[in-house]
Amino acid sequence: MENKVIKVLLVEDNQIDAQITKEILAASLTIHFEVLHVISLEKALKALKKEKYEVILLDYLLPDSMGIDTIVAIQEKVPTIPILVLTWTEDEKIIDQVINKGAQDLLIKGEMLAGSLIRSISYAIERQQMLESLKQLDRLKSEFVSSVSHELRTPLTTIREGVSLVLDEVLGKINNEQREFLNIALSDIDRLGRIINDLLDIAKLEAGKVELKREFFDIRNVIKKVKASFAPKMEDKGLEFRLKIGTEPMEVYADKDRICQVLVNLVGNAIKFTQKGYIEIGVENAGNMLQCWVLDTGDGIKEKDLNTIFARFHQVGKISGVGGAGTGLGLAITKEIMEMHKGSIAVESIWKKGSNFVFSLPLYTEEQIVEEIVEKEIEKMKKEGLSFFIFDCQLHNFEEVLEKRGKSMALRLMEKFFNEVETLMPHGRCFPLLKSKRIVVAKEIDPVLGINSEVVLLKKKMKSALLKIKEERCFDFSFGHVVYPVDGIKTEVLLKKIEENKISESEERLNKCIMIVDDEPLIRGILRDILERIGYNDILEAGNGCEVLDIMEERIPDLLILDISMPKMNGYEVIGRLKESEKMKNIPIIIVSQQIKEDKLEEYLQKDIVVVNKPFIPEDIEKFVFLIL
Amino acid sequence: MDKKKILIVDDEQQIVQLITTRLKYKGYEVIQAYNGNECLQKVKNVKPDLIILDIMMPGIDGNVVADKLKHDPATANIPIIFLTCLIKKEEETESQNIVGGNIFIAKPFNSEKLIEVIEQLLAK
Repeated sequence: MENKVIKVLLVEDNQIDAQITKEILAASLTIHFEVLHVISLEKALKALKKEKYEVILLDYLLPDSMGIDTIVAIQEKVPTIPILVLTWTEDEKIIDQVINKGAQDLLIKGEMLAGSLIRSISYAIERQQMLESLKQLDRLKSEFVSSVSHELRTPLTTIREGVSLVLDEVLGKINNEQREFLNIALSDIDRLGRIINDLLDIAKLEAGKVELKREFFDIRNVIKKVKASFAPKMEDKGLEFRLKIGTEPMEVYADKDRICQVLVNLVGNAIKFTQKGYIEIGVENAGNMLQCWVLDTGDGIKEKDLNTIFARFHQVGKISGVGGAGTGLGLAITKEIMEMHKGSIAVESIWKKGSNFVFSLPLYTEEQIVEEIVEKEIEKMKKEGLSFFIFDCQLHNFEEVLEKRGKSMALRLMEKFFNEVETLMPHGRCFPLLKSKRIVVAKEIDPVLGINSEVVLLKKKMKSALLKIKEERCFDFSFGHVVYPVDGIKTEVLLKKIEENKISESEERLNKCIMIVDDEPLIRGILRDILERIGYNDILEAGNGCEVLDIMEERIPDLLILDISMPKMNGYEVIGRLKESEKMKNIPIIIVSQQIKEDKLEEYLQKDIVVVNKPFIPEDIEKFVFLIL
Repeated sequence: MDKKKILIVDDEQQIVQLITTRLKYKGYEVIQAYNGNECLQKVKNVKPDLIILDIMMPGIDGNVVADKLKHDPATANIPIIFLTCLIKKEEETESQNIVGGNIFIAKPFNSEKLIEVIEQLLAK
């Protein structure tokens, strides 16, 4: 048996720990470990540039980097080398974080026996190889689906448009015979297109590349749409359309396009196989399920075929006529779609009498939906080893707005707000829940920005989304957020924490203190009115720079609204003084002034100090206060 | 009245030729490009009123091109029709959602629908 050679990079600053590890590895009889020992992240990165290692043993605490940061830094350079973290800590939270960040394993130094370290290394290398293969396979599947789409649909496009141009007489007049044949060609081109769609659908479903885009909608509207599009065919065949859909909305949480696809498939089949009588589409609430059926008085299905009817490429009898033959994939795709929705489909039929296809969809509450969202995000993130946060924004006073402005306006404002949030979060996944007046956002944490900055940024974006709605701030709302895996790794835990974290925005407002500084009492009065009108009651006033600093000895406001030209000490000086003090240098400032020096303007813009010119309009003040606090 | 300018971008020459024939017949001035970079260059020189953009192209794909155009204030308001084989007819943008911005039309396309959408977008 030949000796395996494994190159190991050991990043460990403690000499004794390193020695122990090296001795453990050296003692192996079956594997020869070539160990390079470095004592800092910097040296590790240098070594990784020079040579290829099969595994990295990483101390959790290094002189120039700690914990997760080290892992991130290394994975940036060499994403495919498995990392084993060695540490003294037994903290479960840290262990979870480390594993979720993508380390293959974590070993407790005190408990490291020879066998376990070596085994862990072998497993880590194996697991990493499997992960890489899986990723590769997944990539190939995606590429396959999109390149096949391209290869099949591109020539069909040229053929179709070519025929279409001649038919539309763009290239000259055509006679009736020519028209007849070209129409046949066009019809078959479209038929081929539909077949390609079915094939690609099945390919995508096989490859697991289909994701449902779920929303709440009234299934009756989809049924009506499908009825309308098949009405001409029905008339041609002399068949009657019956609808048993009731008068109350039947809301379902599902992928609208896919449900439409299912209905189109079932009704299309029904028409194909029915020569006289009627086709009935119906829907009813069956407890915790919604049941929908397509019933026909057609040829029916033989008992022996009932079992295999949903199988792929199964076609019953030969169907003739243009646009008649299908791929035999329609029902197979329909069944897949139902299963993806955690629903089901079944058929009952009597030969020569008719058939009834019934499908069921589960009914969800919005609470269940949020739970599912969080669960799915956790699954996804676990696979990709990422940290993410969930942001939950609950609108409060919807009833108030409803009363003041009427139902349709209130709904429109809410939808507008949700749409704004979605546009402002291009890399986040947004789930608006119209019934609960709530929106949930899931987003990966930008490793550069960090959690806190991201949350602050998100809050600002939500606020500016509200501002964009003209009737700004009519909504009171509360935010809550949780970070995975820091706040917990189980769905229930995360959901509970979000609820606990939710602080009402108006509560936040009441707690903020704003200081107004201007030598003109009139101006101070105006500003006070504006602030009180938007809900801020804790207001301090000062007439000149000195007073400001005096008051700040006792209380530090959350925001300073500052005039520049004042006696005794002007605005520039005040700002200068504040910036010198540790306590006061981070107070946000809005300058309200007639004229401000060019160079100061530059400087202040750099420091995120807002400048409003006098004469000012109340909306500007409101806007900035709202955004800053 | 000035002819409206439409820029058509697709790496398949025949498709560009066919669509050009159709658009010229309808009275539009047509500019052609066969890849993302050419598209960006021509937009700078010509300022089209509308862009018909393929997504799957070698080099930079349609999405990247659209992104760049949207982030440049000089071109952000040019409506874009994505003509792509990556979706099917049922996934096309519905007529009530055509508010300017990004519209999706599936390949193989129905030329009537394409012309209708173009007229709708240029009417703004």
